[in-house]
Amino acid sequence: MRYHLAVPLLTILLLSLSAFVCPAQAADDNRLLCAITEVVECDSLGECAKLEAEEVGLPDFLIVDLESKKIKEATTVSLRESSFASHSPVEGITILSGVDGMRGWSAVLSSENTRVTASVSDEEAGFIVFGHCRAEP
Amino acid sequence: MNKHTSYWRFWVVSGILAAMLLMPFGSGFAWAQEPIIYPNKGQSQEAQDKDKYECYGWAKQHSGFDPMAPPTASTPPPQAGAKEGGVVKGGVIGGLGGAAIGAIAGNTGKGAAIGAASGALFGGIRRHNQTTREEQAGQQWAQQETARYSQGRSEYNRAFSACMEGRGYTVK
Repeated sequence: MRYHLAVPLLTILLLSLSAFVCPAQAADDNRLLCAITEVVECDSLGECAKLEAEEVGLPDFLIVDLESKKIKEATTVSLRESSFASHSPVEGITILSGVDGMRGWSAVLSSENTRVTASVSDEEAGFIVFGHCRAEP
Repeated sequence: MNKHTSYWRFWVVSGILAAMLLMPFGSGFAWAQEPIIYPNKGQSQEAQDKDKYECYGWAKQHSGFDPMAPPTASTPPPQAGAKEGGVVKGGVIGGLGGAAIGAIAGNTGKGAAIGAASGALFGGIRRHNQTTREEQAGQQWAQQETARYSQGRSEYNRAFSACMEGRGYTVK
C-alpha cells in the first residue's frame, strides 16, 4: 500500500522540480531576451572605439520576437523597434536582417552558445554589436 | 577744455574701466592682466582720466587691439554635425514615409530623442566618434581664439603701460 502511494507522489515531486530545474523549456523559444555586452564603432577614417551600449544610445536589453519578426527594447513601454527578415541556413544559426531609417543591419544568432553579433551600418560608419541571447523566461 | 568734452571723456574712461571689469567674466581672463596705475607726480583725477583716455587711444592704435570692443572670433567655429546631412535628410524622408527614422545628430540627446520618438532602434544609434571629434575641434578652436585674444590684450597692455609710464605713472 505504501509503495503504491509513493510512486505517484514521487512523480508529482519530479514534475514539480523540473519546472525549476529547466525553466528554458517552459519559455517561449520564439522570443529571445538579448543583453548587449559591447559595441564597437568604426568610421570611414578607420577609427574604431569600444563603447557601452548606453554611449551610442542603445538599450542594454533587447527582445527579439522571431514570430512577429521584430526586435525592440526590453522595456514595458517600448517605442523603439525594428522589423527584420530571418533566415536559418543551418541548424542552430539564425540570421536576421533589416533596414532602419538610413541604416542597414544584420545579426547572427547562435542557439548553441547563445551568442549574437550584429552589424549596423550607414554611409559613414559601422557598429558591431556583441551580446548574448536566451529564450525569454 | 569745455564742459562737453569733459563729460564725454568721463564716459569713455568709465567705459574702458567697465570693459576692463567685465572682460574677465566674458572671456575668462584673469584680473592679473589689468594694470594697476599709480600717479608718481601726484596727478589729479582729471589729469589721470585724460592720460588714461589718451593712452587708451594710442595703445589701441599701436597694438590693433581695442579692449572696449566685445571679444570677437577671427574664424567661424567648426560646424557640428555638418557631415550628418545625408543621414538627417534620410530621417526626414523616413518620417514622411511613416517608416522608422534613422536620425543621427551631433547632439547626443537630440539623436536619442529623435530615435526614441520615431521608433528607430538601430537607426537611432548615436555616432560617438564624430561627436568626440567635433568636441575636440570645438575645444581647439576655443583655445586658439582665446590665445589670439590674450595675445592682443597683452600687446595692448604693454603699449598702454609704456604710454602711462612716459607720462609719469607707475604701472604694474
